[in-house]
Amino acid sequence: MRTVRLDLLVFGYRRLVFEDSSDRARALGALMHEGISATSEGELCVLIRERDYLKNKNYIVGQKCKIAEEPRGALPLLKRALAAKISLAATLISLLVFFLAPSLIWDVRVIGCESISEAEVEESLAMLGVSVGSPWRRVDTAEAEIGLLDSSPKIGWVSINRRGSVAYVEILEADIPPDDATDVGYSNIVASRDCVIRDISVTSGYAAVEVGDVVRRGEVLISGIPPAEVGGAFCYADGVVIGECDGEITVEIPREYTETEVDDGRKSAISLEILNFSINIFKIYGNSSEEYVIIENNEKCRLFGRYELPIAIVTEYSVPSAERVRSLSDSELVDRASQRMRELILSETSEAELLRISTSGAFTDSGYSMRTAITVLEEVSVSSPIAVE
Amino acid sequence: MINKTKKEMPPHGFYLSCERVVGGLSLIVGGIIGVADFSDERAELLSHTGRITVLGKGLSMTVFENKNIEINGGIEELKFAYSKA
Repeated sequence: MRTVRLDLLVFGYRRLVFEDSSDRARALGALMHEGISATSEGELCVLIRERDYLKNKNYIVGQKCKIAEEPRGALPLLKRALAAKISLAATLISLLVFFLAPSLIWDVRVIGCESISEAEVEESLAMLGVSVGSPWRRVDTAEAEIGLLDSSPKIGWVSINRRGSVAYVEILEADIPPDDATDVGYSNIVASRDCVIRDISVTSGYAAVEVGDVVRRGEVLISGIPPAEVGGAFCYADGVVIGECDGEITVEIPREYTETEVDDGRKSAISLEILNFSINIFKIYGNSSEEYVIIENNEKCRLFGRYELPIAIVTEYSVPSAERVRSLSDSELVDRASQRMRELILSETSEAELLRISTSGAFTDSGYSMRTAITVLEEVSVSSPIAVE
Repeated sequence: MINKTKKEMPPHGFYLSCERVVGGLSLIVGGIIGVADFSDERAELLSHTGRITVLGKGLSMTVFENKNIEINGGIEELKFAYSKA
């Protein structure tokens, strides 16, 4: 397996060729002792960084090996080209293209089309400014997503993401039921939960229940089918039905829980990211087994402090931590249970009127348990299509 | 940042970590004092207390400034010996 070291390829390296593998192994050990980084290549070669070679030339010459005359890699190549005064302009133009090219959209990929054609989606995107050749800085992905949703009723969800210089457009088609379904387009109003009817207001249809009736979830409250004695056609039942509903909320808080304690971190890796290309500059191996949290700090480079470049320095910090088991006191248990109960009651009664509430709590073997019985007044009417067989 | 790592490597110990990579495994060994042998199918490393032998196919070795050694390739076997002989 060939190890590819990007720092050698970019900053330059020198090749050392040995006569046999034992010489090479000995040389690798000697270089390690001197603190010189080296990588094996092929059967008998070793690669070392050009700057290490220049710094330790006498030592390396003393190893029994043939040393390549010229260094290789992008930077030495660039230096030779500049020295030859041939490609200065080409280098500048390449750098310009390198930095400017990612600022344009090079490709638009649409994912998720089934009944909608990709051409239709791409045409809509082009009208919203998302097309090949458009500059990224003029693209507002949020506006484009809203525009695309409005452009076709068949699209139910859209996400536009930028990866490098490619725009990925993921769509989910809306689930529109087919026209020839058995659903005749009429509906009843049914109960969304068990309750006692407190108010019924019919806009269209026929009331199937009265105030004071106890109904179960799913039971018809306002019917779109006329009674036999009345006769007439089906209709789309509409109205509002208010019911009194009972409910119970239970909260259990355990006395013991596991807490993660985080200590100060240390720098464990630094890498340079150019577009989506990552070059590892520094890394510490063999971290303590207690360290498992990695914090990544991504710092973008800016030109003149204003213009963001597609270059970032990513620093990783390893944060040692340990899990500890904590125990809550009685008062802490009750506080937590009360807070959690409060949150659940608020969410339960957010669209309802609270009529009655009764709470009780007790300590258990494992912690604390709190129970609340509530009675609310809320709208229980939901539409349910009438299916005809 | 202050390094508050409680577990520190003993002065004559070694540590080893391994992860899967494309094409095989990547083995990182620290605490090595020498390289006895290295070829495409075998690597022998010396630590203060003994010898570590790595056997496999298509092995490549990288040594770092902090005296850690990385061996990549189709690693098949690891052997540990208490003496350097």
